[in-house]
Amino acid sequence: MHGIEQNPKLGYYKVGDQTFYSKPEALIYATDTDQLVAWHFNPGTYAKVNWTEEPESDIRELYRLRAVQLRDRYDYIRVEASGGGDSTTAIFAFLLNGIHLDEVVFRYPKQGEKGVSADPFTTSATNTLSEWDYAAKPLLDWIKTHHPAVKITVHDYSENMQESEIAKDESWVFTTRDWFQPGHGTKHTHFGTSEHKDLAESGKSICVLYGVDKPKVAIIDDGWYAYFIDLYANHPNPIVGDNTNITTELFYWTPDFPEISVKQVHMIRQWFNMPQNSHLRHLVNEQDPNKRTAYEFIAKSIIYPDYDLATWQTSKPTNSFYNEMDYWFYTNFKDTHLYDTWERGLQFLVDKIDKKYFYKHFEKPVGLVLNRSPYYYIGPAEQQVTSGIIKNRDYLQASAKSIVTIKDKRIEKKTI
Amino acid sequence: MTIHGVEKNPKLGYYKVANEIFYSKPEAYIYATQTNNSPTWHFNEIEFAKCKWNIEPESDIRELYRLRAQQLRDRYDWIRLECSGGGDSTTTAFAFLLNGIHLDEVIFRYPKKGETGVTGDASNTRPENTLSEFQFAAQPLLHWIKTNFPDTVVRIHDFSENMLEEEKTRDESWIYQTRHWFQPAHADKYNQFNLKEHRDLADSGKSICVLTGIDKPRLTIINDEWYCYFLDVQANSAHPIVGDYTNITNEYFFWTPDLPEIVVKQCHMIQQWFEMPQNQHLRYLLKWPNTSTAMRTSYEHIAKSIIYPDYDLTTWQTSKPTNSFYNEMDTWFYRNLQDSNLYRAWEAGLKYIVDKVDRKFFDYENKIPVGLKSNLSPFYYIGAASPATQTVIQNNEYTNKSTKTLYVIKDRKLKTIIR
Repeated sequence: MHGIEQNPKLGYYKVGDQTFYSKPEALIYATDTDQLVAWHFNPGTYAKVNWTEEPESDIRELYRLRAVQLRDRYDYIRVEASGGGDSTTAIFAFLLNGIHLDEVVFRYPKQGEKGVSADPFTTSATNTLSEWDYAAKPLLDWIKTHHPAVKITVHDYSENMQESEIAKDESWVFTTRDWFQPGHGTKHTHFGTSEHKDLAESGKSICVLYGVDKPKVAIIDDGWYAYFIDLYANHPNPIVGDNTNITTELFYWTPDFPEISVKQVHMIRQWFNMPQNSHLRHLVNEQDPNKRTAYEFIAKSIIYPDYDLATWQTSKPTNSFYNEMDYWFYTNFKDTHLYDTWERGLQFLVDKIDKKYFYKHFEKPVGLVLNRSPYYYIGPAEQQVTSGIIKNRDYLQASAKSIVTIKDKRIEKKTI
Repeated sequence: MTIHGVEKNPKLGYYKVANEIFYSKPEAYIYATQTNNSPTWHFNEIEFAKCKWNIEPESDIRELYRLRAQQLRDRYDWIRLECSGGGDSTTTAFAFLLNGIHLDEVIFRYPKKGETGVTGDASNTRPENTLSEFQFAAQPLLHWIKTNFPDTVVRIHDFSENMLEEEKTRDESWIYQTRHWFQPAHADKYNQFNLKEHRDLADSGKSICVLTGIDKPRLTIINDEWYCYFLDVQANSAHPIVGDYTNITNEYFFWTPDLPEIVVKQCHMIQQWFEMPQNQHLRYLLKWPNTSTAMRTSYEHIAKSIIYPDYDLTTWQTSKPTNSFYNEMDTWFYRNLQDSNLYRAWEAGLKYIVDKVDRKFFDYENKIPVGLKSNLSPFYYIGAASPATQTVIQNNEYTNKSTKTLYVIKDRKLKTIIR
């Protein structure tokens, strides 16, 4: 049952001449051979896209077309739902347009919920399990009522965690691509329920669909750019073993329908370029989690017109290794073999991978460094009315990074 | 003169428990527990109730800031601004300096002896890295002041020195030295007598204003109506321990009954922005009830950009902490003073307050008490909101689990609503 889906559309890594679909495998190999790692996320397709031209179609129509495209391609479509804006909008793309969706699955570690959920007052990431009660359940109830032909599955993956082979040693780190949380490898397995196993064996072509993701944008030298990061693209867990009939699809970040991302970034750019909003362009800042969160709230409100933005949601976690969302695990599985194995997996990564490939909090590795696609030029940023008596920006030099931009079909290296 | 004892200044807010008045929140809550009463927080509600909140002041916001600076200048011999480098205190500094109004002192507080291993990384903006705000946010501002306004005293106060002086003597009574923020160093950080210069100044008899940039307005939309309210958590972030000194007065630059036009103007500016057709979809950030820290933080980013026109919004800043007791901003303390008596005294103080205060008065995170509950002022009516757009699923049933009784002041009438 091990074996990662060899699907270049989801992104892959190159180290020398070797191609890897697993990030930890790529980084271990890069460390062993003293080579650099490059992440490839459909650069051939995206470089050909005319990012500067906004598609004329309405965003809802583009979502509908993407749903039709997937429906035409697969016998069975299963959406991984969280109740958040990304997956809910992907679901709406089918259901609000009369396009059949076979299954919506919500993943929940039932055996880990003791003492860590059901409090709507706590919205820190430690209370993430409450998204079940306050975000996902209303969506699933709505689907059940209005679209009874859609199968709703609530998968208790804590059962699988306990019975799973991966509990035996640190090799669990190869069952996930970037999210080294104790449950991640098991949470999004395609074989966690007997129904899913039977479906995989049925020979049907199966699409496992993720609402990945809102577009990433940046303003560089008064130009707007779109880009992708591997951290988000690596959220799915495409372990398919020998099953060639299972395909992971990202609803938004897809080379099969780049118009969606292009349309979204133009909508976002237009909003930030409005005179009354241009002072908020400082929120287009990937490095600052607060600003990034504010940007994402704004972006969601622009590109997800049918989603109830007041839906309950916890804050985002701050890192991959010691993810606040796993508070349920730290609380309820502390003295288990599973916990010990999880820690050993993290230690394995730290031992095997060059320290330059980790991002750190005060020198402690807390995750693998993220990789960025080229930055695709969208268009000019309107001249900003200068804000700030004191330009308090020296720190930017202390956190500069190198990127590649593509503008007017030319590739350029820049430091931002 | 004794230097313990909180300033009895009703403008900063106070608590009532039955007929007793308290300027210290922990004292009020302990008394409320002992007498089985409920504390109420009072924040200039009579003055604020008289304001015409639904009428936008005509003056430009910069002019209102200037008037407030002048008002304070006319009132005090010495004005000391508590400065973090953030938008609130920087805008306060600008209100003086950009208008040619003398500011006597700007002070930045920093625990130098606790900085080992927890500072200097510009790529980490978690609250654990808060000490880096000195290097990346405050220092550029302080340099600018030194260069352009050499008559202003710029001071950097190493409060870890003062903490360590108490290494052997501190006990749990430190909790009475703070009003809401039960952080290990809060009381030392903002102490008005820790430096010789400050003690001398206090003894000089001059009237001293200790000025804090409190705060951006809190706005919400209830039943398609805009309201402004105040929160004691923010009002209590100042540290008005003055003992017997009657010549030291704490002032909030923005949340003041002496010039309420500032808050009213700010509210209208923010309301207008959110009511623009292109921005209405963001009003969900202001919904009531709003339990989301992330939404509130996002609102504050937007609000700052509207009401602080001279502040550089790209200034480096860490995220806000999630609670009062186990505040992520104190990582420097947890790491570097873990084995000290100070650490034990800090823990003993938290235990003391948990033991002495009824559990209903605490906020919890995953069932662990993490701070005293916040208190809200009445909600002052600003104006009508355009009706909200209906979405496919109204996913807000959870709001029924977090209702509160609110006092609303609209058209000079006080109303109670449950939301």
